[in-house]
Amino acid sequence: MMFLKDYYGIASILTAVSTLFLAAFVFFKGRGKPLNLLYSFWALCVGLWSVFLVLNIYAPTQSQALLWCRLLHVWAIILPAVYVHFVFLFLDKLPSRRRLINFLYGIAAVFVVIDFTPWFITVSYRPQVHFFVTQPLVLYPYHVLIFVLSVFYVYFELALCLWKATGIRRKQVQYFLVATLIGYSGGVTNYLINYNLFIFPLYPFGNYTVCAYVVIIGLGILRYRLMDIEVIVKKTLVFAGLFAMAMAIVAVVTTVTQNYIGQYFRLNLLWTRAISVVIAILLYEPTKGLLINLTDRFLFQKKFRLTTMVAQASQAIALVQSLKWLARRIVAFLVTTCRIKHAVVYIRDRDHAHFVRGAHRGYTSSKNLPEKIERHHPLIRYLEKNPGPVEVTRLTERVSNNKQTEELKNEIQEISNFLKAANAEVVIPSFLRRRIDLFGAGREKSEVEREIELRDILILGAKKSDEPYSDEELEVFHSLAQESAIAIENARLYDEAVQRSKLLAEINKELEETNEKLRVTQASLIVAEKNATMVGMAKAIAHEINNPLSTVDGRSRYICRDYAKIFRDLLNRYGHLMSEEDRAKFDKAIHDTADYASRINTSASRIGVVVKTLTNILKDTKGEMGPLSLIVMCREALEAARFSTYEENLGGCEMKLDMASNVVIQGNLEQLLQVFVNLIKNAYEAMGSQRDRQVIIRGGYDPEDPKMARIEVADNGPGIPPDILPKIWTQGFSTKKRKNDDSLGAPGQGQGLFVCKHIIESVHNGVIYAESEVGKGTTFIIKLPLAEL
Amino acid sequence: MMQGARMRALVVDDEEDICDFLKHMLEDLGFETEYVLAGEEALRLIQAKEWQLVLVDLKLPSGVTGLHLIDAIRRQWPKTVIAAMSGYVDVGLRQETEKLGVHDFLEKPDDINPDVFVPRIKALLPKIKNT
Repeated sequence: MMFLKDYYGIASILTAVSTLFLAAFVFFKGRGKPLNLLYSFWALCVGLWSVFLVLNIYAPTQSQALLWCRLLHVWAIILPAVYVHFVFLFLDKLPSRRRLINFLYGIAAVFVVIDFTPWFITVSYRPQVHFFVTQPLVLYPYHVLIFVLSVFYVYFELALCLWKATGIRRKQVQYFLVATLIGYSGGVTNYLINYNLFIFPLYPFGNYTVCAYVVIIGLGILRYRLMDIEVIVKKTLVFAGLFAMAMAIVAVVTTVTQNYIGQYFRLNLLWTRAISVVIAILLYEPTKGLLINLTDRFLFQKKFRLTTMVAQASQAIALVQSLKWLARRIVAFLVTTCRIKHAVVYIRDRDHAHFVRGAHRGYTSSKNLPEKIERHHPLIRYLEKNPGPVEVTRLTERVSNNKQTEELKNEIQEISNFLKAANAEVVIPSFLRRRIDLFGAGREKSEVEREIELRDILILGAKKSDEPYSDEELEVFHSLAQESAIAIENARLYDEAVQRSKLLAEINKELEETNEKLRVTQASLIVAEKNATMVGMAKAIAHEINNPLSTVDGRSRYICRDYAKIFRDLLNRYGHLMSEEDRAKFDKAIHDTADYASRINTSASRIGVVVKTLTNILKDTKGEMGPLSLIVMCREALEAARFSTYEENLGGCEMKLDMASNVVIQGNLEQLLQVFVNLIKNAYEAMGSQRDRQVIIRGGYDPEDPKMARIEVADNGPGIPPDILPKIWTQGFSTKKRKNDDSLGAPGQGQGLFVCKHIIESVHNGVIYAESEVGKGTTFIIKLPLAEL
Repeated sequence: MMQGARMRALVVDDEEDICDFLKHMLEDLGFETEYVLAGEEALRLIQAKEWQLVLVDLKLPSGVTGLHLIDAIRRQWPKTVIAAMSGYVDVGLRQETEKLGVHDFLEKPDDINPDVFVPRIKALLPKIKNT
């Protein structure tokens, strides 16, 4: 049977063991840091207090009990001062509270002395609990007061800090606060005992809270790097521990079943043992499986998350996209997949060498994030000198390390201020290695240098879980960051390529437009040139013909009008002097002379008419547009076409004109004649020497458009194959091989239809197209606007 | 013009044939006629004497052009009656000659035919007699 006293004793033993263990652990893991030293000292005080308490509980005599009692109080006196000191150190409030701490230590020293005086304590046996309990004397209450006050003060300071702290710091303070609350509350219950207040369950279970304190602190160290202690928990260790625990449970279960089943079924020991073994074996596999699952899932899920993180990250940044998109992907990945509160990425601007803010996520306001970081910012310089991940908290430690120079300290202070303003926990730089081939005078072969350049900076906030970043995680981020530098370079090149191709497209478009304009200009130049040439030629020809024609016409007329008359008059007057025969001859000569002269004159007139027709056709109207009678124009075109086919005279080919006579179009006569003459000639020549040749020109109002006239020039020639049909309008297209081709442009130069199209469509705002069927014939359809009358 | 004084006509054309024929017809009409084949010679003659009628072909060999000649005559002898001649009807050219102030425009070959030429010159006589 266990007495309550034993529970109390066990509690104290457990407290002693755990706190001494904690003290040792923090001391050895603390790497000599003052915070850790102080804490381990405090834990030592608690541990020793417990040890002496145990001794006190089990002391057989009063004198021994008193000794142990005094000794345990020594530590009880010291430990509040130490804890207050520790808390101030932890909260970075040390410089301002130095005096208070010194005061507390002073008081503690005094009380230690008082402890050994007869006015502090004594011991008396309490029958209720079966051991010698502390008996408070006159000065004791002051100790209790100080103890309680310092406890409350610590609560107060921790609570105040908690209100202002963020991130991992906050978690750490929380742990301390909770642990302290629990531990000290339990610890304080001991004083109740001294005042004969044996309140169940405070006695004897109050002391277990101190163990709970140790457990909480232990957890805090594990998860939140309390006191900056990192524990790399080995999976096997944990697993072994858990397994052992599980097996212990199994053992208990089997023992119990063994007892009960054995008793119930009255089986002999051999059978019950066998049954329990079977149960154990059956339970082994599932238990092992469950434990593996649990440990993996809760303790080591970070590892799995890391691998998925890496896979996802590689996937995201392997796709080359624009720089903006990539930056967004990176911060999105960090915030959502990696479960970080906020992240921002700064990318080096290629031209200006400063770092521009690429994308950010998770920030409530971006005003604390500068748009760019200059090249010479201390952060940049620092990163270039120390190419690796930087933890902001570790950076501030470097500040307090006295080994650095003043200048460096200031720099680091500036950097940490900057990073704190951006709420940063970690900064990850990423560098790009480039090979540079060097050529130049004096080098025999190309040297290769590797240039390492800082390309972008990832600034991460705290994790959403407020846990600290493990070294492993930082390594992973670091390698991902290096990959991201390559991806960013690719994205930058991609962006440049996109920009360049846009520029190229624009230039291309401009070129095309210019080309088009050139084509139009060229066509109109050809038309104008032809006009000028034709007109010039017309003038020259007309002049050359009209001059001699004037003589022929004029003088022949003169002969038959004037000279014939003179001769006749003379004959009439002096004819009687001639013989009959001579008179008849002379008369005939006069008659014939007049007759011949008259015929010469008639022929000359005909020549005059022909020249006039031709010159009319080629009249220089200076490109003026005016109302033209369609039928008249077509007739003139037919005439001109006849002339231009020389001796053939469009012979052997039936020319039909089927046209409404009241259609008046708006156009330039000279140019339209060019077009129609060309079409007629093309039709005529296409038919070659086939037997039934026919060219029909039809014209009238366009049934589809009341403002347009529609004209067709149709032949029954061989037709144009469908693959060639669209090409006939192109400049330079020709199927003619004849040398004396007198169509517009030099023989077979293919300007004709190109110019026609220009005249009809660009100059006259009409339409021209061709329909053809191989073996049946070709029809050219022209639509021209009607004259507005 | 003074009563009884003979009318003098000048023909300027690079075709000798035409000049000869026109001279013939003008003499029939009572003009004392001379002809030249180039613009420079014509200028000299114009500066030397007064002419009552001048027929100028617009297409003269290079140098002094027909228009140039017309202009010179108008300046020197504003009352001289001028008729321009051309083998090719160019609307623009015709307008220019009218701007310079010619009194008639003869188109070859139609207006050289005596049936046309003689009445046309006769029609100009009142103007000529007024100089």
